[in-house]
Amino acid sequence: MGTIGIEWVNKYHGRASDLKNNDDNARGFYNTLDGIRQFEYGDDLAWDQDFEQSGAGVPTSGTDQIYADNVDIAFFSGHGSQSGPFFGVATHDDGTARSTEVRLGDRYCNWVVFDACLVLAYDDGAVFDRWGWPAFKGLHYILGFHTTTGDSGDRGRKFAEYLNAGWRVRDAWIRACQDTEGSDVYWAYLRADQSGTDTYNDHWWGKGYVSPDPTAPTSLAYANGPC
Amino acid sequence: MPNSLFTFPKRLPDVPRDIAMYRTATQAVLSRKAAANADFAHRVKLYSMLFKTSTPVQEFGSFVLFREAEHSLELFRLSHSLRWTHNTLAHRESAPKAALPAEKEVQKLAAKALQDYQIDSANAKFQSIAYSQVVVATAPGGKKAVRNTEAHAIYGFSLDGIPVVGPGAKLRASFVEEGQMSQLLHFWRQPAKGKAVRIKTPQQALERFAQDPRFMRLSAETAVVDIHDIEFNYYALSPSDFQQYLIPVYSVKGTVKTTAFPRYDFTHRIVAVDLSPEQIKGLAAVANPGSCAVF
Repeated sequence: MGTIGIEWVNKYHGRASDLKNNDDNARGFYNTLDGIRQFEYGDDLAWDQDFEQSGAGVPTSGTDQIYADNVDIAFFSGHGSQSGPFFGVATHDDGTARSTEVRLGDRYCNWVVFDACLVLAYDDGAVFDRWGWPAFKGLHYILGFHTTTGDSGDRGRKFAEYLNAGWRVRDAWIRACQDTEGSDVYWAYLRADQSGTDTYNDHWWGKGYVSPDPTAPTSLAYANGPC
Repeated sequence: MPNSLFTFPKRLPDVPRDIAMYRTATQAVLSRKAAANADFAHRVKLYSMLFKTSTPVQEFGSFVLFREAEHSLELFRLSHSLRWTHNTLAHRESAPKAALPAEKEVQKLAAKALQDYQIDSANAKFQSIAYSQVVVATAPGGKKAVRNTEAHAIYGFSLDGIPVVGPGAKLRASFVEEGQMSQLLHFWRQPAKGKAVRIKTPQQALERFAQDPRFMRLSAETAVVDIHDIEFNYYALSPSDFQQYLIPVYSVKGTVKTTAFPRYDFTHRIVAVDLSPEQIKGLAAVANPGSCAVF
């Protein structure tokens, strides 16, 4: 059975405008998906370093080995930008889980969801420079948005319901986005593969095929479309 | 509205003082009445015939599913919504074997699909064509080809000339090469015009917006909230959510800039009728009245 970790932020202490629904959104995912609930941190206890590799980038305070990379699926809900998911406090690291510091899959993480604006904005191919190769150390997918997105309170629950119902991970994410946004918002994902893997057909654990980990990916597929 | 944190648009829309409420017929679906069940059973029968399903229906609570080898059909209980999906063509990554249909052709194909599948498009109008895109990289750096994998004909809904927005007002037909349909989305609740209610003025809506707790922790010294646009709409919730009335809202578009977070573009909705959560509950308008003020 798969393991689940979530982090969410509504309170930004003036670093950005506050949000309202990220607790409901992330908890909906956490409490609905069939699996082992391993961690939940919200607001001031949600830290960017929990998604970052120890020793990578600056500051080097990453602790993903006990948080995001210690579960099969990690879900973040809050503000975001091309720089990465944005957190409410910057006292432990710099408050942004930057692509230069995210290295997932060298432990357990197969899928990470950044339910936040613009983290996967295509930007004429710059998404590959940001999230491309170094972030994928066995990670199968980064799921998120090409555009800005709404402050949804139930996308996480719907995503979990579709995973539980046996849809592939990519189909479940797209369906959840279609159910919660208008067509002006674009879902997106970035997916890694290598010889012997088939992450395209990934399902949630216990619901169908799960690919072996692409530990040294030879291709990255980026996709986006209207919700 | 003096407030140094906010900049407001110079021109505000002209909006009538009273606006019709639109009741959606989902209350019948929710009840245990035989008529409600018959209504849903009729939809299941009709669309399973039109989409040529052959597998037994699977029950998932808020929707039922026909999962066929080649396609799937979801029918939602709490709205008159459906989603038909071709299992391999929708959201695929592989390159089309031939060119996607031209935009005019996509529009024609969509119009025909709506007719063939008896989709209620009385309040919908073709709006635009959009594309799903895939890019595959095989090494860091280097030039990558962007390929369009699906063309989507997107329709917009309106009632009395007022746009209906939100995830529950969506009509879209998607196509790939040789005019094959890859997905059909019809998220909608059949509306019945009800009595007119007094609505807030755009000024009152913006005053309410400026008091929203989202902005309470921002300081005018380090942040600015620039409102670009305000528009009157009806709002439709997700197709799997309970909703008895379309919600009259002002949609406010703007940008928040702070020193720590340089740009956040938002669209927030301000409920345009002055009803307390108790009154909303009394009307059984939505499942969670407390969530309805600014969202």
